[in-house]
Amino acid sequence: MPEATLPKATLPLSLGEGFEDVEAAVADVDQTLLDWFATLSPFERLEFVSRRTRLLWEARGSTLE
Amino acid sequence: MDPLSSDLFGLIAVLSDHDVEFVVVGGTAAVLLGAPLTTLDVDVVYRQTPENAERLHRALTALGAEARPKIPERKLVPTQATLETAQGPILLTTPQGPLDLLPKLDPLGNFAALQTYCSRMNIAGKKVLVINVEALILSKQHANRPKDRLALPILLSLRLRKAGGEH
Repeated sequence: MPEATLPKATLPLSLGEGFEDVEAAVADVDQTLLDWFATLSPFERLEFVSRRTRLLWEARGSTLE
Repeated sequence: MDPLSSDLFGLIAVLSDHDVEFVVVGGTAAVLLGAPLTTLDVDVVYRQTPENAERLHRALTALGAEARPKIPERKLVPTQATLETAQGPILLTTPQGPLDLLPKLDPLGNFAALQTYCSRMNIAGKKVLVINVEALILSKQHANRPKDRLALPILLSLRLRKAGGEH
């Protein structure tokens, strides 16, 4: 996990006007998935996403130019 | 570019092995911070000094990087001078996937300015600077593209967990 080395940026909890739907969507985030992803090391997270990306593109039979 | 070869760690490792000074931002940073998002490329903000541009140029040569989109019969690779003076993003393709080099990240600023907003993360032995979740939220809010708005609820959720001391 990251080690805090420098002062943190500050950000208001509310994103403000135009982002009400984004903030409402926080309630729909799959917390079980986040729990599981949090158990992975940073390297494992990258490997998981790289592998999933490859599978998604294979499924679509696509390449990106 | 062939996303089937997407290797996010491989790209970061080559930059790290060449002692390039950079901060991971964007979707790859979100993944490192705990957001299970799909991302194709690695976005980094790099320090624009002659020394770092030289190291970065060597890393790009090792990666076999070339400009994106590709131009048939013509391999375009950014020069060291371009890396040192670029004002906007340099979009590259590599055999390990897309790599986007940014001289700055709006609205936070350049590599030096980002030092306030990042932490050092150990990724399989590579010590890499990664933007923190608050600053990533700010950059996604500023960019405000559809993909940024999709990522924001997850990032906000991660921030709430962090504030609550769960992880």
